[in-house]
Amino acid sequence: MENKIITDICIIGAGPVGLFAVFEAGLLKMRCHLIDVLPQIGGQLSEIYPQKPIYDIPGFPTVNAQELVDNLRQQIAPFKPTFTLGEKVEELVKLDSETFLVRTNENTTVEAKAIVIAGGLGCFEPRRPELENLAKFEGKGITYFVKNTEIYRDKQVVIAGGGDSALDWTIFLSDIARKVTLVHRSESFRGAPDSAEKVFRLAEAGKIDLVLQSNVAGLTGEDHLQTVLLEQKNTGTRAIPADYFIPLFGLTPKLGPIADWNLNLHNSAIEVNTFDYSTNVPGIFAIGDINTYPGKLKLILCGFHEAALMAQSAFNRVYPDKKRTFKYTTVYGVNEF
Amino acid sequence: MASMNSENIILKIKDRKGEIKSLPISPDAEYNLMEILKTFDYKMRATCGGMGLCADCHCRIVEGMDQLPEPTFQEMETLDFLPDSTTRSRLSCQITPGEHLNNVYLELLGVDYY
Repeated sequence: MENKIITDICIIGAGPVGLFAVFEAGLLKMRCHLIDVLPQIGGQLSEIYPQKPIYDIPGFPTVNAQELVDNLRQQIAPFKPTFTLGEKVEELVKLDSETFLVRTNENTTVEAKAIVIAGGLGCFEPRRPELENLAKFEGKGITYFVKNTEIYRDKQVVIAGGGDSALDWTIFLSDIARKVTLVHRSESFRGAPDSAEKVFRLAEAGKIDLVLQSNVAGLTGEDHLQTVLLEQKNTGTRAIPADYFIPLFGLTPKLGPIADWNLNLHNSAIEVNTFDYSTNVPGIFAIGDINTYPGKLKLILCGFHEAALMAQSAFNRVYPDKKRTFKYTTVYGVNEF
Repeated sequence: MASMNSENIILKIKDRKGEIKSLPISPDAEYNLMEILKTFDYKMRATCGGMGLCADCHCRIVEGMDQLPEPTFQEMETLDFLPDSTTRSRLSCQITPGEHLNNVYLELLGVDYY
């Protein structure tokens, strides 16, 4: 079913810069809707380094990445931003001279007068192993995210990876699937010791097959995946029957469909005018790590500055008949809506 | 052992196109090898900025593996995560500059380098 949202500004990317853009837009009474492929806000701060300290946010001698995200969430709350999380933007079209339409992979649509791309280094996608036939079996036995666990009931599942998610899903699916095989390239697990301990116990009890010092080397099948070929350091290769293969090697950012929106790009970054961080397409702005201009520094604090200037210009699109006045929060406060 | 000056630290590098160069490395120029490589215009996206978390700077040590400082737990954890990691894999952002780089030969991997 289509989920339709109408707002003033659609922000693609809910990392720190996208979040702060809500604040700057809010001061000018513009509403924002944010879309992010990750299931949570915060971008790479929450996804890659939530517990790492950041030392160059003005006014914070040190702040943990997740704490900064939590603070931003609090800071923008008065402006009631809305979110579509866990969905990927697939399409951007111009409806008329004033309005854009953004569509996600789950068919959520957002209509907005201005588009702000704050996509960081791109859309986080699963890191794919280099295997022949991988693309052929995507959606036909290969999945990178476990969503509906029931599809694995009584099936033969091969999971590859050594991180927390590989361990957690092995444990979870061991009760559902007919057989779970966990394939890991080394002989130990560095993630969550409790989960690793559980996995070793399940293997000892014969509830799962644990194949260490091994890699998945091949995939075969007709219309659907049927066999996974394992390459083991000491014993060579062997084929095991598999209905599903779940490679869990973490996420990595990719530019994705943004590359097809007729924006001027340079080395996978969007070229902008530093006057207002507008792109070559009127109404589309790009702020934060995803843009490039002479002297660009990929710093959160630079992204915050870019968000402020962008909002001043976006105002002219959202309220073409209104006169913009510049207001200090120290004088006028933050007026929620 | 005679002390080594910065002029005779030579790093051999094979880029992602297969081109091989020998670079003179200053042992105190940058914080880590990934940053050093950037100064020689090798593309390094470095999503995590050098925390050993993203593996954009993944490389294969062709020669000199034993002379490099041991990987940290963080580096091992990230390498464990990579589908194309091998026993010769390192993350260049986690390798400190110094005399141990002399005569090391590395090949740049990392699919996502910008």
